[in-house]
Amino acid sequence: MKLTFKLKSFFRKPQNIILFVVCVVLGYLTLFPLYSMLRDTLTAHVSEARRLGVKAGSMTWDHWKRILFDKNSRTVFYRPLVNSLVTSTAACVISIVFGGIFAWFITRTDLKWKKTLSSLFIFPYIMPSWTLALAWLNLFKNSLVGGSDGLFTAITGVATPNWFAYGAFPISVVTGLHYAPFAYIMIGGILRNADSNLEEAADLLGTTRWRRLWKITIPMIAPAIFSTFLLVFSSAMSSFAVPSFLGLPVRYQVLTMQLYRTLDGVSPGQGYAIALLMILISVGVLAFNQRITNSRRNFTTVTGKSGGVSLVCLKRSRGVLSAVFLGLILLVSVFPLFTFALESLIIHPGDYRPSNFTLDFWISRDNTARLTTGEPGLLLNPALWAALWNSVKLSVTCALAAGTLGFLAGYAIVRGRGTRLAKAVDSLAFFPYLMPAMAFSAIYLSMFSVRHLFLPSLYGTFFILALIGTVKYMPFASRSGINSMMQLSGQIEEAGEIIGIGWWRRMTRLVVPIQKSSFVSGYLLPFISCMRELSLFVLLCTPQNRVLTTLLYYYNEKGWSQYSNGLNLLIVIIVIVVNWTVNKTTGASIDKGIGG
Amino acid sequence: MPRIELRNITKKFGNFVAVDNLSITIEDGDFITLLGPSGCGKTTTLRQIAGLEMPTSGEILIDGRTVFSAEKSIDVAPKDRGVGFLFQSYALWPHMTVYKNIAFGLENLKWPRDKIDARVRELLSLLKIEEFPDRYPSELSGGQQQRVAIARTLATNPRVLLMDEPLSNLDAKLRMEMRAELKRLHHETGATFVYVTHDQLEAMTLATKICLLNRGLLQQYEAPLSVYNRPRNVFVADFVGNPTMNLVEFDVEKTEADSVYLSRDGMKAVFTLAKDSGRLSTGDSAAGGPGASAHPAARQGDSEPQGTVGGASERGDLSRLSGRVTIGVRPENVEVLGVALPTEAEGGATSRAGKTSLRTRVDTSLPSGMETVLNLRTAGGVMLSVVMIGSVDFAAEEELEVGFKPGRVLLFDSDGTLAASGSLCFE
Amino acid sequence: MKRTMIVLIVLLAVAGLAFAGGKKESASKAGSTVSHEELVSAAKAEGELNIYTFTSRGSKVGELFENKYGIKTNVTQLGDSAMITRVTAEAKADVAGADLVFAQDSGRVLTELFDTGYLTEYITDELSAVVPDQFESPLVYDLNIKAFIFNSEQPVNVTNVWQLTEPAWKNRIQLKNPQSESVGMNFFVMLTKPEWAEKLERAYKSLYGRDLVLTTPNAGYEFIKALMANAVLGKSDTTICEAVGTKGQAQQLAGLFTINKLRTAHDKNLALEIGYDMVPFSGFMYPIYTGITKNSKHPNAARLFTEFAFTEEGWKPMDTLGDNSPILGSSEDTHSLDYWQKNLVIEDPVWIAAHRYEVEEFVNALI
Repeated sequence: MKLTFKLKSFFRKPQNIILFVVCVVLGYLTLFPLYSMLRDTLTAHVSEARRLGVKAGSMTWDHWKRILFDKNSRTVFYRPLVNSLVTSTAACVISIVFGGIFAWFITRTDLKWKKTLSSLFIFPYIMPSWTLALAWLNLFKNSLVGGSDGLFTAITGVATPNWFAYGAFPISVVTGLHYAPFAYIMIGGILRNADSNLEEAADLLGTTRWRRLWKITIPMIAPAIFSTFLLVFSSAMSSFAVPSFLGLPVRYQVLTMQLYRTLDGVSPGQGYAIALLMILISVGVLAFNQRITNSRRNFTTVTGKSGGVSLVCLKRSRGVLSAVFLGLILLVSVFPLFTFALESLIIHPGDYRPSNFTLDFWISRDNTARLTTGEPGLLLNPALWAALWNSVKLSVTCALAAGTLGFLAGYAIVRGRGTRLAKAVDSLAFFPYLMPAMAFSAIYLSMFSVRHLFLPSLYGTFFILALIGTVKYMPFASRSGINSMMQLSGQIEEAGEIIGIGWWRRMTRLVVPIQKSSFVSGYLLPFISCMRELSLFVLLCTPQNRVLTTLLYYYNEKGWSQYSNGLNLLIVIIVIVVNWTVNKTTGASIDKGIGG
Repeated sequence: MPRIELRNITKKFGNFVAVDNLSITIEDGDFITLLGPSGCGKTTTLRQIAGLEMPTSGEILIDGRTVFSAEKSIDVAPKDRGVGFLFQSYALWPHMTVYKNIAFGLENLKWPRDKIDARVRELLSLLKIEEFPDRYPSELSGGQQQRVAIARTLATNPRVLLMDEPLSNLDAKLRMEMRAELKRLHHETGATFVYVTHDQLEAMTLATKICLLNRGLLQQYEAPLSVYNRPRNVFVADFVGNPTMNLVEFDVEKTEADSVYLSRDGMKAVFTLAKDSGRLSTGDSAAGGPGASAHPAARQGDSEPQGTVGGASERGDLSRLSGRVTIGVRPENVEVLGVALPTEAEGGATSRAGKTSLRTRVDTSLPSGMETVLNLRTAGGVMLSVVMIGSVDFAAEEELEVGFKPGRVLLFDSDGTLAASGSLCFE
Repeated sequence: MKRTMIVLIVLLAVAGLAFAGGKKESASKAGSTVSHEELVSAAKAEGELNIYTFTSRGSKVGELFENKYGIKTNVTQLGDSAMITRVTAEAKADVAGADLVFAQDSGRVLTELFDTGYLTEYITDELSAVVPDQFESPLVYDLNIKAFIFNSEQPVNVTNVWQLTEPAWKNRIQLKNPQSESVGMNFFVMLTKPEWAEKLERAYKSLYGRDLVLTTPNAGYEFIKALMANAVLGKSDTTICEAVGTKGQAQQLAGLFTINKLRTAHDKNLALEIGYDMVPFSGFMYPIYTGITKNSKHPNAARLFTEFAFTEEGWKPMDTLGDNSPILGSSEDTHSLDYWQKNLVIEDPVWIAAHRYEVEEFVNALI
């Protein structure tokens, strides 16, 4: 067969065009940065040139040596590495156990208020990750950090021990709770589809409850557990805000803190070296995950239409258990919002007398009396409105771009299943997920701040924010696209193809309308993630194009707790409202996006 | 009118050969079934005709026009091949009404509204689903969905209708009904039908010709009864027919021009070539294979039922046979001669070479009213299935005397290829 | 249809070209001998000015300037490292960016921005006459003060910094994490300079009457190590200020943070007091440098702004406790800039540039 004919037939299939284009574009936007990072780890930075006695830009092994083989490697890398691994793993376990148990109760028992509970359960994921950390501090901080006591101590008079208030324990718990919705969605997805007959059959054989759990239920949901582990682990490992809030008082260092220090300081090369090692770990987890899920593929195929799930009757404990879940979820999902509202209204932190309350931080024109800068109240603050507009613009742009690209990629990956190109695009589209956001944005900053190939300097532009957001959230969108296309038989489209419906019409009239809700879900998740993203934008945002979260970060840095709490509340409310509206009007939901 | 030609079609998925050098010609107006076990390449073949899959090499011609040729770099898009395709899952568009499902393709062709409406009404009545134009697919039964899918496929008037196991999702009763429906449609539309199935009964009842595939290789391409009566090899013999053909392996002891002396586990038998009376009903003398398409008139052929087949041997010469051969006999060609009498230990009638009957014991007896299926066990432990018309019940372990209808016993050589038909006697 | 699809996918990349297009103009060098009127009209002709600054109050100065001269002034507040990265990137790419920069982190600003020529100071004869010599090169716009501040509900008994390293002060002294703030790290770097190490050594001896036993290169390192052992690290000066100043705490706390926070102490109901006259220092002071960028597209407006920033009118929004103009000092402070110069550790950019890394490594190992 002639090569030209081969190429022509290859590109006659729309999925191959998409795969090819996505491969090139994503290759440029993900692999090239990776290469740049690697190069930077071997290059002397301006600020190091004098110390290293070499010219800036010349090759050096210094960064790797300092990270891995130096007397300070322990403090700079190994100890933070161990801490990162410990907290990330613990966060995985917590999210899987909490989310998994909740998923089981929701799908398999006659628990009360299921609808309310499951919508509230998603909240922590919608909130910026560090909000729970702030709430934890509001609740449990002790005299170590000085100032007023946390609410818990204020009420009970019991001082919390340091290990409970700061460090590994709260970091793991808070991160675990933040990602528990992942576990709930993924494990719940399997439990909902899996035939409960499998479990009932075991019952009939007289299996004990525990044995049944270990031998039937757990193996059945194992693929979801492994997928959750992968998602949570790499996210937890690249999270910066939570450990920096909760770890600092007891000097509990994780890798991202070292990453921030080095990237923001005088030796970015070391930072990139750390970032590369983090990516390597994530890729390792991914590979392990794929090996396991591949060898267990048989388990995933037990899904399909079940003949009706029979619910476990909780009997007398129904009320109690429902109340316990409601209480827990209110504590995790609603209580933080309440504390944000509260903290945004009080003048002196820790003083909850009525005389200490004010609306000034929301509606005063000039707070000169309370703040040197006289920052106007949130609702009258032009900075807030500018940031809000920018956030919305950015999130919508990223959602549209990532959602569309992701859906097309998902479509092409499923249609071209089995080909090497499809596999490559599949991995490539997921890869940004494994990149620590901070390192990713740092390398974009250094790559695109100067003219790069055909792109002019993008520094400080809205476009670079949109670009990095799009790439970073591609994994969500492509996953969602793959999921929705997997559910759609290829024959649906072929039925159109054979009677002469063109590709564009097949997409717009058949594929998209049929998969409308999961199609929209592919946009929802990038939107939400973008609205609450900080690490990715903090380096790239300028005050002209500040977004809500970087404004929040700025308030936080300034220590204006009323503003940061108020803004936090606003962000969460905006995201919840958008999520709810989209859900009601299109049926799209985060679960469908993640792949429940 | 469309005549479909596949020339040396090969399709590889990586190292896996799905279709191996397949050449067949489907005549205009034929109703062909592509039959074979799952994974044999039949669906791939169908999809290649439609253009949904691209062959690795070979050529496809529809109506004399090359629609695919790897050598000439031709690959015509599915929509331009003038074919309709009926999917196993029906692939109805769930967000469109029945009417819209049928009309969508016509709208795409920019037909005027009134013409579309007329055509849709026509199809609705042709498929007897007039009452459901405004329903959504999910509101229809499986059979109704299938009718909608057929209507949609027929809408643009394709002259070739390709069907991929269209009835496999229906229950047994509906399937019977739809089979009749398809035969009617074939008759009424005059189109060429190519039909994929793994159900040999469906293939037998529907097709004018069966194309039997196994592991990507063509096994036999002939009229259903030829395939049934003269399976070209052991695979075909085993695959077609229910209950399956009795196949028993023997070692060749000695050969003569018109007979073979066989043995197994102390059992000795003689196969004798059919001489005159062994007419094998319809079917042509050529046993199909790659060369089968060279005999377009084969369908009508009611040719000489020769004892030897293909290139196995000269007529009347079985002497080239050696090694392990297989004797095949259809269950309905095993006759129960009667209940064996204890004294008649050596069996009844004898022929030139020996007895024509065999003593067996009843293993199971499965009467179904119209017929009775018996599973019998010979002294050597060979299992035989027998179909008797009418309901006769035998007790287990009852001893029966059975014989094979003369001329209806098939002999497959050591490669599994059909070598001859004839009669079997026992020593 | 395929075309549509390709267009859709490539849209992003194409849009990039549209979003970011830069004019190419060469910036003229700063420092000339034109009259003030000529400068004003040249600046007005440029019509616009982009400023990167370290403080949000910069925008108030920008507003005043804009109102006075009608030149559109965009003020961007940036963190230390981001500022250096951006100015470097813009200068290298020669794109329109900042015209004028007000930056802290003296060591890096000196070596990475001034020494490279990306920034040039603009100093007129009039300015040169009033700015003390040590603040002229690079030109210092503002001097910020961070001092040891104590909860004042109990009497402040600390007169020597070494007292803060005693076991009694374990977990009672709060510092902003030096890893997240360059000026804090620079303070530590300065302590290792022989001049300050000797002062610390003498202070030790005067307090305890015996010589300091060194386990590290010098007394500066020794002090850092001891202080870090007692310190609780915080995220921001505001939170540290509140933590230290909250009334009714069992133990007296102290913090090292900007004295600016004392302005709002009363309104926030905080009890705070600066540890004046501590031996050998009460805290530290760091300069904010100003310079015009190499790639400036509005150099005259930048010059005009520089002149304006040093006038009383232009300094007004900045004139708060803890911010000292090298000419005007701080009107809110009861202590003069002279007093502070004697009682605080002041950044020496050359020493910092040379020794930042090794001290940072030393400090990292303590966190």
